[in-house]
Amino acid sequence: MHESVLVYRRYLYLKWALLLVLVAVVAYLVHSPYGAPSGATWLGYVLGSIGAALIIWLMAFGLRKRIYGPGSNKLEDWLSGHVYLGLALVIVVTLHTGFQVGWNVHTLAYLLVCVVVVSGIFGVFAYIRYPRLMTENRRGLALSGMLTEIAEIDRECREASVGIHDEINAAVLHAGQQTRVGGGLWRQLSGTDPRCATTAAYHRVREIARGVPPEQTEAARKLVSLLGKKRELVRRARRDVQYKALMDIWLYFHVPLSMALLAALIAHVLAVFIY
Amino acid sequence: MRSRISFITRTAKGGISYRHVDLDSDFVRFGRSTNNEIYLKDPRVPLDLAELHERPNGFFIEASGSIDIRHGGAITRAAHVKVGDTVALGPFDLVVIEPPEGFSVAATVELTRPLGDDLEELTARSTTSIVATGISRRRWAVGLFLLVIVLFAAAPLVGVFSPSIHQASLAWPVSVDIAWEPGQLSRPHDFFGDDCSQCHAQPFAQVRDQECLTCHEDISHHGDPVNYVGMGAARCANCHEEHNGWAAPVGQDARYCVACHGDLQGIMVAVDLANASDFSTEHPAFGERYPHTRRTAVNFDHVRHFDAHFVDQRYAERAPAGCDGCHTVAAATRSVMPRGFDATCAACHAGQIADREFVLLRLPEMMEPIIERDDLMEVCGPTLEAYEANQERLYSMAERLDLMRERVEAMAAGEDMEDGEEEEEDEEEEEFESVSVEELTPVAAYLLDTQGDDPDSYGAGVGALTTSMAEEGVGPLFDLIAEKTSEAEASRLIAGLNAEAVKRLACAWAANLEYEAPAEPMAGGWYGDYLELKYRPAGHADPVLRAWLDLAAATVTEDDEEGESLGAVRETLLSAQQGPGACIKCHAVTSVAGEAEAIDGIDSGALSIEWHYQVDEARPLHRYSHGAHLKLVRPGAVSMMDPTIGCANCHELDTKAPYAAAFDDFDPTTFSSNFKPINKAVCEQCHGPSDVAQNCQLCHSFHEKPTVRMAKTARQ
Repeated sequence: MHESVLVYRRYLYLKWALLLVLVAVVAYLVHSPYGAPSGATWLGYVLGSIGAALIIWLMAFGLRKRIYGPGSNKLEDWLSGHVYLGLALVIVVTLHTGFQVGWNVHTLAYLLVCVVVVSGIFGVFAYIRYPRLMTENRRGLALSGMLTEIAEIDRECREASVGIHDEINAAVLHAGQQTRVGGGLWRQLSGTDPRCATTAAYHRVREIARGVPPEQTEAARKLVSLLGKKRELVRRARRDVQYKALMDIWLYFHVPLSMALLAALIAHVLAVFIY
Repeated sequence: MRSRISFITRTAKGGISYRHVDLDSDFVRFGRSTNNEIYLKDPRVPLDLAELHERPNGFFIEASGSIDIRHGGAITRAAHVKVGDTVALGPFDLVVIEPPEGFSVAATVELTRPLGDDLEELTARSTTSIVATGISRRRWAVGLFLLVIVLFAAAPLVGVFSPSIHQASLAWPVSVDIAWEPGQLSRPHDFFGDDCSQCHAQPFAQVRDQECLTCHEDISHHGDPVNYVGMGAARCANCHEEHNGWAAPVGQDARYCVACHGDLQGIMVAVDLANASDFSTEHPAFGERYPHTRRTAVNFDHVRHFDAHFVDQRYAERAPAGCDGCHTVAAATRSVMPRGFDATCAACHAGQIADREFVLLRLPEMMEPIIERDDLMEVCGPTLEAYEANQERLYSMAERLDLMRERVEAMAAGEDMEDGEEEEEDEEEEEFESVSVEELTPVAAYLLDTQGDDPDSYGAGVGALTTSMAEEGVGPLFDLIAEKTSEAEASRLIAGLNAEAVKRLACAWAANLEYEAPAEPMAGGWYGDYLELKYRPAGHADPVLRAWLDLAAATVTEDDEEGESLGAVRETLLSAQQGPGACIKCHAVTSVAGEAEAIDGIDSGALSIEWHYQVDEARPLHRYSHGAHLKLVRPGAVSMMDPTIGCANCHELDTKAPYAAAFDDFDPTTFSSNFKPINKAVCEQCHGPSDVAQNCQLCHSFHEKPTVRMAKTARQ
C-alpha cells in the first residue's frame, strides 16, 4: 500500500527534525555569549556547521533521485528526510544568524535558504493537492486522449458545417485552426485562454444559428452541441496542463535557487575563514 | 455553352485520376453549396464562390459571393480566362485547358491546399509543459550559481589577493569588499567605509592588535602587564567586537572583567586588589573619601555657607535656592561644573576685589636727589619747569617768612644778625630732604636686585630707574621685568600701563615730589598715586593680577640672597591679608612637585594657583555621569536639596569635616570633603540584580586613556 512521504516510517524524520530544532532552540536560549548573539560565537559556529551540512545533504537528494536500482536507503527515506530536515534547516540557520541581517552575502545565503525552503513547502503542497485534482479532472482520459477527442470534434464540426451559412462555417473553421491548449508559462499556470477560439465560435454559432434557414437548423444545432462539447474538453485539457505546470513550476525555483544557495554558502564560508 | 470540368485526384504513390463533369448550360457555378454545378467540398470554400460564363469576347469567371477569386496570383472580382490560366478557388486551383472536341470550354479542378491533420495541428499549436516553453531549470541553476560565485566569492577574493584591484575598487560605486561585510561598523570606525583591509590585513588570520594600534597608538595597558600571568594571548578584538551596529564596539558584558577580576589571585603576580565578580555580592567597598581624591580648586565651604551665610538675613536674598543655583546641572557630565564667579560668588563678594590693589613701585626714602635740577628740566620739559618755578616761589616765600621770624625773635632778644650766620643757614637750607620715608616694595627690590630697606643699596638703582622712566616712560620698567621673566611675561605683567602717566610720575619723583594723579581709574588699571605706582583690579579674574600672582607662585626660590628677595615677593603677593593675595583666600595654591616644603610659611618650590575647577582624574578607570543621574533628580521639579530625590539623596553634608583646613598647605591630597563619602549603599539604591544594570563597564573603563590619536601613517 502506498505510504505518503510525510508519514513515512511513522514520521521518523519529523521526529528527528523536531529534536534538532528543540536542541538548537534550547541551546540558543541557554547560550549567553559575551557580545550579541551571532554566527561568530561557538554556538553560532556549531549551528552554522550543522546548517551547512544539512544544505549539502539536502542538495544531495537531487543526485540520489537520479540513481536507480537497489540501495541501502530508499528514495522515500531521502524524500521524507529532505522535507522535514529542510524545514528544520530554517530554524537552525535563523538561530545561526543571531537575528542579524544586512546587505551582504551572509544574509543572501540566509534568505536563499528561506526562499528555497518556501518553494519546497509549495512543492510538497503541490504534490499532495494536484495529483488528486488531475485525476478528477481527467476522468480516465489522459491529456493526449483529450487532444485526440478535440481533433475528432473539429473534424465532425467541419463536416457538420458543410452547406451551412458561411459565417458559421468560418467560425467553426477558425475554432478548429486556432484553438490551443497551454501555451506560454503564464498561460499554462493560469489554465485559461481569454481569447479561446472555441469559446468564441461556440457563442458565435449559437447566436447565428437562431437565424439560419429551416433546412440548416438541424446542422446548426448539431454544431452548437459539438462546439459545446469541444469547449468543455479544451477546458479540461487546459486545467490538466495547469495542474502539471503547478506541480513543475516550484522546481524551477527550488533547484536553481538551491544552486545559488550553494554558491552563496561557499562565499559565506570563504568570507568567514578569510576574515 | 458546353463545358467539361475535370476533378483531378492524386494518390500517395503519384497516380492521377480524373472525374469529368460535363455540363451544357449558360454558366458554371462553383461553391460549397450543392446548388452549384461544381460542388467544392471544403469548409474553406464559401457556399457560392464563382461563376464561369461566356461572353462575346470570350470566357469570364466572376466571384459570386463576398469572397474574391485569385487570377494568375492577383486578387480580383472578375477575370477573362484563356487556355492555360489558373484561377484559385479557395484551396482549389482551376486551370483552363484546351477543350476537347464538342466542348466550348474545359478546365481542371484540383485540391492543391488540403486541410492538415487536426490532431497534429492541435498538438503543434499546444504547449502543454513548462519544458516545452524553452525554460530550462539547468540553465537557470548554472546561471545563478555562477552569478553568485562571481559576485560574492570571486570578486571579494580578487580583492583579498590583489591589493591593486582592491585599492582601485574603493573608488568604484561598490567595492569588492562590500559583499562580505557582515554588519554595520561602529560610528567611530565608519570612516573605513568598505575597505576591509583597514583591519583585516592578512587573509585567513584574525584581526591583529597592530592594526588597532595604528590609530590607537597611545592606548594604555590595563595596569602593568608585568603583574599579570597569561594575559599575552588577549587581543583587542576579544573585548572589542565590530560589525554590530553604530554603537561603540565595547563589550558590555560583565564576564569580560570577571574572567580576571573574579579570581585575581590566579592571574596576578602580586595582588593588592580584592576580587570583584558582582557589584551586589562581591565588590570591594568604596574608598573612605570616595569619590574625592583632592581638595577643591576653590575654597568654598558648603557647610559654612549653608549653615551661616545663607541663613543670615543680611544675605539670604542673595543665596542660591538650591544646588543648581551654583552648579551647571543642565550641562552635567562626570562633573557638575560651578557656574563661575559672576553667576555665583559675585552677588556677595564682587565688591571685595577692587580694593585689593597691587603696588608695583613705591618711591623710597632717598638720601640725595635723584636727578640734578638742571637735568630734570631737560628730562621733564616745560611742565616740570613751570612746576619748578612755582616751587622756587614757594621756597623764596618760606625763606622770607623764616627770616622775618628770626629777625623778630632777634630783635626781641636784642641781637643783630651777622652776615656769616645767614650764609651758614643758607647752606643748611640747601641740605636734601626726601619726600618719602618709605621702603622700596619687595617687587621693586627684586627687580632692582637690591635691599628694599637700605637707601644706600637701592639709591642708585631707584634713581636710574626713575630717571629713565621720566625720559622713556614704560620701556625701562618693561626691560627690568623682562630681564627677570620674559618679554611675553612682562607684556602681561604691565599690560595697560600708560607711558605718559609713567613719565609724569617719574618726573614728580625725580623732583622729590609726590605725584598727584588727575583721577583714579574707576574701572581698574595702572595709576600713579603720590609715592606709588599701583594697579587696581578691574574685577574677578583680572589678567594683570593673575599674571603677577602666577609669577610669584611659579618661581622657585633658592636659599640665597635672590631667593630671599623672591621669597619676600611671594610672601607679599600671596598674602591673603593684604593686596592681591586676596585671590588665594578662595583659590587653592598647590605645590607643582607635589611636595610642600614651606619656608616661613610659604612654599619654596614651584606653586600653581588653581584658577579653574579641577576635574578629578585620579581614577581614570572609573566612569560616572552626573548628567545621566540628574535626569532622575528632575531639577526644576523638586528641590535639589530634597533628601529623597534631590542631590542630597547621594551627597550628604559633613558638618564636622575640617574642610577649610585643607587650604592651609599646598598639598591637594590632604583634605576633608564638605560631603560624606559615597558608598556602595548609595549606588545600590538603584543598581542591583533586578534593578538598573550593574555591569562592570557601566562604571569602569578598561583602558586608562581610551583616546585616539591618529598616527601620521594612519590610513584614512
